[in-house]
Amino acid sequence: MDENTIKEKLKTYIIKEIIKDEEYPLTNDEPLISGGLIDSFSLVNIAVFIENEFKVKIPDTELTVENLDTLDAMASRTMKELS
Amino acid sequence: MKIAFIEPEYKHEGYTCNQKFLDAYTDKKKHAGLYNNANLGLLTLAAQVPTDWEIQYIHTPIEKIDYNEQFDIVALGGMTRQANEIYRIIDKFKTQGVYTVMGGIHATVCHEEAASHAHTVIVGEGEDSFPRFLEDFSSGAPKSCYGPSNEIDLMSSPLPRYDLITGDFQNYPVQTTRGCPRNCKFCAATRIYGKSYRHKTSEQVVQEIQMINSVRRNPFILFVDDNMFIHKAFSRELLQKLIPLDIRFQALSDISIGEDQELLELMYKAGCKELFIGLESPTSHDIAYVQHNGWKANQTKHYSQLIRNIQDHGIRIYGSFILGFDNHTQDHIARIKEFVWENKILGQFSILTPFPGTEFYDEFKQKGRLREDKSWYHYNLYDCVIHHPNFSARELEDAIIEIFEFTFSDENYARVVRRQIEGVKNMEYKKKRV
Repeated sequence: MDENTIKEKLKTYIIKEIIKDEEYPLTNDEPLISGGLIDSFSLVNIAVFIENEFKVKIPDTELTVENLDTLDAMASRTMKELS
Repeated sequence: MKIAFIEPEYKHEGYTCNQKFLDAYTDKKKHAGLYNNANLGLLTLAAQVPTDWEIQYIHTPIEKIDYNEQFDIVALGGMTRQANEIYRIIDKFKTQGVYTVMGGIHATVCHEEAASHAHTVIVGEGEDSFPRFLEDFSSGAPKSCYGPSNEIDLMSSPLPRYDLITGDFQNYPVQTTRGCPRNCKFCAATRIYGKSYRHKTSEQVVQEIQMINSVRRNPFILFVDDNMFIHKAFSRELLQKLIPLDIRFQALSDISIGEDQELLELMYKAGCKELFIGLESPTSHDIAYVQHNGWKANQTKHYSQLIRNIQDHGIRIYGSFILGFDNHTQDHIARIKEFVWENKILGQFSILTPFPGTEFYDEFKQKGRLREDKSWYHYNLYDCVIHHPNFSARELEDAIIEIFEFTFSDENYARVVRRQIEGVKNMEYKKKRV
């Protein structure tokens, strides 16, 4: 699976299930939590989605807002675990 | 007629409200600024204003007051730490000939002080008194004090005017019950709301959330009840009705909720993300001091198990701890940090603060243990307003900052997130099996 596919899947999940606005023009570098678009509880849901969907486990030490704040960061983190 | 309801700002004047402290506590990234929300009491009273009056809700932490605007009445309410700011605003409006009303917790417990500023003081719950004041004002004969009224029937409490909120809040307060049977010495809930535990109807609560949904997409709901799940049958009924609303919420509860698997499952399904629980201390001998009946002290030995039960249901724990009981020493700071780490929780850590209206206040005042140099601004839970036998004020304040920094460190935060991930996966697994 390539990074763009991961980003697309994450984007679909986030705008549908978390932001709850499928029209929302989410960009790859938009800061979701630090930018106040979603709250810190959503970090958990995003991490669960990544781990279930891509069959990876994010190391506990990497479960930080910085690592999961943008689509770019999430996809990059996921790619690291996949490889 | 034109009336303004004004939520006063929380002024940060004390030592602990320095930037270091605020960074740790109000870090949006880690706790979503959950405590910045509209004043539910004022929005509830606003619902009783005649429909032909003009109403404005001004949330001063984010909006400025225009003192040149011609209001007939300004109404303010708030907690003790907001009292001085309320008085400042009231005094300013009075010089311009505007009629002022004050209600809320502080006005209830210090009504004589409030009456020295506001034209009218509403003591106790306002749902009965406020419409009477409005009638009297309209007829030109408002009284200087209303209430306290009998415990009001929450089922007849009006739908709060969430539509008056102009600021873009992420979090919206909803109240489903009033009262708390635990009667802790540091809390004024029982004295203010009485001993009976009352609730709205589940239909009322659903209607309130639907109204919030109509003014804010995807809001986070804060159930602000002092202890939300005491009435089990009502809680079950309400949670069932919340499920289809697809919301996310935080609620306040005591730790006994951890014994009720059925309710915890319903809470998860209804969107509960976090429980704020008054744990007070990891050890029983100091908690014994906060309650006459010892209920809380008896729970401490079960804390870790009950916390695990709650976390297994995908719900995060935000514990509330008090530092500054007389037997506390430096060891206690380490004990709290150890408890936070082992149980994978976040929390609020405050210095024992005897708020007026509480049993603690009477006790500390009588013993001359309240610091005379502290104004109401400092009754913010993080500035030390007491004389302590083992700590200086600065030591207690530094200890609070130290515990906050530890709790909100990346290391502890990651453990909390991982624990919640495990809980959510556990619940998803259960759902699939069903």
